[in-house]
Amino acid sequence: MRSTWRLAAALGVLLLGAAAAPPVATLRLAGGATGLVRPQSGAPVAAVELWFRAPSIGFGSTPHPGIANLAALAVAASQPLTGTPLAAVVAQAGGRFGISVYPQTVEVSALVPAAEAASVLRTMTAVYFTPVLSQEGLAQALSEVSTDERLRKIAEPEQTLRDALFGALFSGGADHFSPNELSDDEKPTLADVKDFATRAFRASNATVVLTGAVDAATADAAVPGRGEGGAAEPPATVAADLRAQPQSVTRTGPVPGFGYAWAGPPISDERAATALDFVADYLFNPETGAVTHQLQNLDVGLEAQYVTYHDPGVFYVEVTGSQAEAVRAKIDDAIAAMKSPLDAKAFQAARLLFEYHVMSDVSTPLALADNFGWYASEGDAAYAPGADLDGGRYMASVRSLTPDFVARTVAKYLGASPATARLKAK
Amino acid sequence: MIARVFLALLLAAVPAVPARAAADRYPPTTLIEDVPAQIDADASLAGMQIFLPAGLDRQTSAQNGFAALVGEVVAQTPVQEDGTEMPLRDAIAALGANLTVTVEPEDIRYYVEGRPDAVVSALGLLGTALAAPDFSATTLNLAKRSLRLRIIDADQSPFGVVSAMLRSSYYRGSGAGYAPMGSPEIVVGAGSKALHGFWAANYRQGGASLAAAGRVDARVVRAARSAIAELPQGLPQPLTLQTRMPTNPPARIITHRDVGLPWIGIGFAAPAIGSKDFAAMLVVRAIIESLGRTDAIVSRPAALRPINAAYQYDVRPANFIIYSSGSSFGSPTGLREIFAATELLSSKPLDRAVIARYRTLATGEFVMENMTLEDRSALVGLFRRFGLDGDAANDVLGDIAAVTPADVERVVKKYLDKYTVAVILPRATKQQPQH
Repeated sequence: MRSTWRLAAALGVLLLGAAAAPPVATLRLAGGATGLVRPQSGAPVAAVELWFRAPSIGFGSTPHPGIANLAALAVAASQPLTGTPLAAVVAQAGGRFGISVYPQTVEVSALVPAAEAASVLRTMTAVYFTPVLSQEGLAQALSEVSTDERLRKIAEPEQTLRDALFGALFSGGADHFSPNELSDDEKPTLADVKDFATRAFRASNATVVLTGAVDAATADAAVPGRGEGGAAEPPATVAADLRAQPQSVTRTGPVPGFGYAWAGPPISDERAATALDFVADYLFNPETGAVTHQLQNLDVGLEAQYVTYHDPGVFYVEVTGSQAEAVRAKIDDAIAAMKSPLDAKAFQAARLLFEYHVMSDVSTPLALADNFGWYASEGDAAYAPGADLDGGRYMASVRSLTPDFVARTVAKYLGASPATARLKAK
Repeated sequence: MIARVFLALLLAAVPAVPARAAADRYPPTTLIEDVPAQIDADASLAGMQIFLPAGLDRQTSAQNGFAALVGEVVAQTPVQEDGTEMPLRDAIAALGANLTVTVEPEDIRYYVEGRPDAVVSALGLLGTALAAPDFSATTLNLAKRSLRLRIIDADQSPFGVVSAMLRSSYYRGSGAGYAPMGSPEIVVGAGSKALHGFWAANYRQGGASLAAAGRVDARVVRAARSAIAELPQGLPQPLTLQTRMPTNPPARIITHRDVGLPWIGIGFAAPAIGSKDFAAMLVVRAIIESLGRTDAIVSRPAALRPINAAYQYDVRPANFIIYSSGSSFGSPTGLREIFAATELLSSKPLDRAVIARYRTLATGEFVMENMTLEDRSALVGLFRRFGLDGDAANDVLGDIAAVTPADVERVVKKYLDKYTVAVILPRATKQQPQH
């Protein structure tokens, strides 16, 4: 069955934007997938994404680190019933194909010329909603995981730090493990990967996101797949896995570095989550951050973000490079200083700039689709910054921030002892 | 490897889903008080470009870096915002907007993006700084330090180095081929008086042009007009870009850098945007890049692909570069693969079904490299400056769709027969960047 039931109008879930922004349509697609469609004028390109709720370590009680990533790659690489592997279909359409795996979610994305959007959506849903896994596809996926691991170790010390920080903050569960790396002990078998894919990659466990040069009719191209239904996996609350005392860990990498991570508010505490987004932007934005400015002439790389997970979120700061240790005090001082309210004028300017960054961050189809997919998967689609821009709940939260509230939020969440990680240069 | 080329060329075309015409095109280019703009009614942000003919080609060899340094001085010039004096870039940020300065072969671009109200205010500040950059020692030192760091970064990019080598050879006798950030020695030694002279010669109302994208309206356009109205009147001296065409046998240029593997770039002349060969060259680029496709499941960044191509069409004459790291060029295999493909393309027309596939790839590349508000406003401005008014962005898409096998054969014969080779070899001992 290929028809789409558009429940949006009936449910009244069209979220109208402030200016002439077209509404985000929430649809119930054939097979039970949720569709989020947000047309966006501009370049004739479209983002086509599938988001699944699925732990990166698998659904069973025994963790299989990296199985979600492996399964997503293996499905894309295997010869599907439709003939051509999905990655090749996207490449032949002149597009770019990506897979991103987070502790509790899997994202499959394509950015394609607008004329190819429906075709790619049809193939993507056919491939993932009826996953075919071959031994060859699994072998190619294992090879890709191995290549990625080598690249990360050579070129992405910040990813090594992040994995270490999450391991130090959480005692178990998917958040404890790197979502990308396989266990050294035992690689998942084809049967393991098939079992995972069968449960994770169901239409009824998927959010289909379409942005850019699309309309609701584009979603008609989605196919239901096996159509066996079943309930969507719920957003995961992992607060129980937080360590009572976050740990300190040391890893090796291509350059020295260090990082901190704190547990933050759940996605449902929108104002506090937004406050920590604001803090990350104010201090650490790669171009305008107050700390970034202080480090401009030094050999350091700085990465910091508040990640709005379902419960809890995570605020992390990572510094890498030959002079990383020399700037530790600046980082500590800057975070400590945020426990006191900013003066009104500085706060007003910082908030205006933050609003601009938020809007700029969702101004392209792929970024907007990522944004919708993330917030929907973490359980609060309407809070997505891209949902309604000026008229949305996220921007309302931004405007509700005050210097006092930001300071109190920092004191509450970043005043605790963080998990720490140190990177020793090889 | 050559078998792979043939295989790639012979693969069947993928049947296309019927296109929805409106979605397959850019928003039409509209004139707002004679300023070309791609208007997005649903956007929250406006992007405005101010182009000044103060780009790389205005520099002599003794001024290699002046274009970028004057741009950075403007960005660091103190202005008053809400009663406080601060550098222009910070003042624009405090309004909730962003300033980007980009040095191109023929122009320098000042791009302001933000909500329309913020852009209007930011353009007012930009106009003040453009008209009276602060060449004092304090501001100049800040600008030099900022630029020097970017020069160090650029020098660590093998593609940036290869590209500068080939463009310097191609645009010989003109600054258009210099590295965008310039020479570190000249930047360090640049004095206020000499920089002021560069500014006075090139920052003129007469040479300025505007372009926009996003949520643009007449207020934004007027604010941009007011900004350039503060510049001195008159026109910069006219310039005609000279080139030295690649030769057969090819010239070879070699340099050493801190790279793990050798890098090679091959530079060609290329058709200008707006010429009848432009769309066919975009298809040729897609064909060459498809040779660099790997078996990776997900798309890889250009730096990780074995063969890449760059088509610089924001300058006339344009240029085309094929480049790669040593993993494929270290042995002659990669080179052979490229030349086998170009020989094949110039000797025999592609199958009609096959070219449809490469037209799709070329369309994809063009729309993805012209996707953001900044990209699109720069593209619209480029068309205006090259005298290509009307709906030129959509015309390009139409032209790509109409490229024939004969077009590809003609363009390959005409442009890819002669070339220059640039090689980066690893240094014997690594040099530490000076931060």
